[in-house]
Amino acid sequence: MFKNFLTLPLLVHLKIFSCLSPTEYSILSLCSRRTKILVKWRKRERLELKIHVETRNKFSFFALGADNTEHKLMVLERDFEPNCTSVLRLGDLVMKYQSYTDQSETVHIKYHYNLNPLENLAESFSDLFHTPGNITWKLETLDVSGVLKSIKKSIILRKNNCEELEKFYSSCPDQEFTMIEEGWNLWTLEHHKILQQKNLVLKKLRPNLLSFLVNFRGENAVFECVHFEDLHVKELLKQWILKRDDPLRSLIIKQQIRGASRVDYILEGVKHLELKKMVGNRFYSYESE
Amino acid sequence: MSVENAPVVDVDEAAIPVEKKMYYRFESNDKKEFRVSELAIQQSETLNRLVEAMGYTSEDVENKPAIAIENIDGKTLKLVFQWCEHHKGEAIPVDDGSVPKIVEIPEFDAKLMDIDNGLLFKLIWAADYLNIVQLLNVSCKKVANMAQGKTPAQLRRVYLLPSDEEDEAAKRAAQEAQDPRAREVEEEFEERKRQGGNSFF
Repeated sequence: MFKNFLTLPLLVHLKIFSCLSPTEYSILSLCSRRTKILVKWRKRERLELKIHVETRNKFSFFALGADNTEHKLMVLERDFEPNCTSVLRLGDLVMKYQSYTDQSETVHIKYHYNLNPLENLAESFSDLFHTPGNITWKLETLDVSGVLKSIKKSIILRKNNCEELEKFYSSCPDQEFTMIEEGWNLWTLEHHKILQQKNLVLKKLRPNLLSFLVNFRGENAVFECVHFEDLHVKELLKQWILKRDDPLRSLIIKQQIRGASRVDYILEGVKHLELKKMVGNRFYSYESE
Repeated sequence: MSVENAPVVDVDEAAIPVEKKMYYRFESNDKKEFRVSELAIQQSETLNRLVEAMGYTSEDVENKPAIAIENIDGKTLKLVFQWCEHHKGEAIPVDDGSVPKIVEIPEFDAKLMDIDNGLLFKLIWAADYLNIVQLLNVSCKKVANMAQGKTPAQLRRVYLLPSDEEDEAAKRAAQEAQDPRAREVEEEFEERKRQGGNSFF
């Protein structure tokens, strides 16, 4: 009897899948409808997926990361040759793939410009890995209008201007997690959408930390700043006491001095009794819920 | 081919018993016979239980017919028994359920599995059927390694996967094989269409 991969017993498939990386696993699902069903059937351990979108010239780089590793999975190209032979289908999306000779681990995909491949790919992969809404999008560009609805967790990798960020977060306001990697020095922050995000991490902030502190309207935040003064904390506490219906639950301020944090030193400098008197019954001990 | 005329394949020439050891005889579905040591058989849980249940003596092994393994051909069974002879006496690993699975392929196993992919899938199937845990581990690892750096098209070739169109064609063929009249009806329908008839009935 002729044997191929699909004719192997299911327990053998499970053994083979346990040796495959998420990238290989994903590529196997793209081989045919039957392989997709087979791969999807397998309940694998929960994966935290990260999708890295980067656009250079006419190319969009799409990388799938999982288990703290990043596997560059696909390169999307906006031109599409209709007469191509290697056609790949993901839902309604028709794409062409080809491999790079110098990057054998990358699948090179072309797609129709007027389609939204990222959204389809995101749906397909979250479906494949049984992780709906669990994908973190790592974005180098905010020009990803096609995926706005899918994005619930985002990491913005490059410096973008205030208007771009405002537009992006206005379009997808219900973010579960937002992180901005590159520092930005905006002064007109009061009603900026970024400060209304529920869980926010801002890295490499420029001196206007106080604006971020007093205008933040989310629940949890980590602000990593270049310069940090005791005054900022005191001002934050004063404003916090006066606020009504403030959703803030946790806030970490981190100052980067040769990789070390100065926040502990500063908080040690504030006497607990003085702090208690200042904040009244809104005092929470360190690491409390 | 009768059992008496079947070719006898000695799997491990060097392992011919110096002291008195029991060598069981097995027969593949294409009537090839193999002599395998008692210790090597222990690598296969299925065969080990089988020979234990049979309770053969040394005389029984020589005089009674070889034990038939109906589902596996001679080429595959030869590889299986070569592997068992090489790894005889080794401890059988217990699956700890860890993912990703860390399996190292020894040099001998790598050479043994340097075969065409169709035969490799048969070997895996046989290892699963005979419940040879370590052979199954290394052969699955080999198949997983084959996927490294492959595009879907390359993977289709490596894993001998049919395309969606081929799957559809196979499905249609299977349906027609079940009901030969269906094909005749379809041909008749096509013929009438060509003749310009609007109604089939």
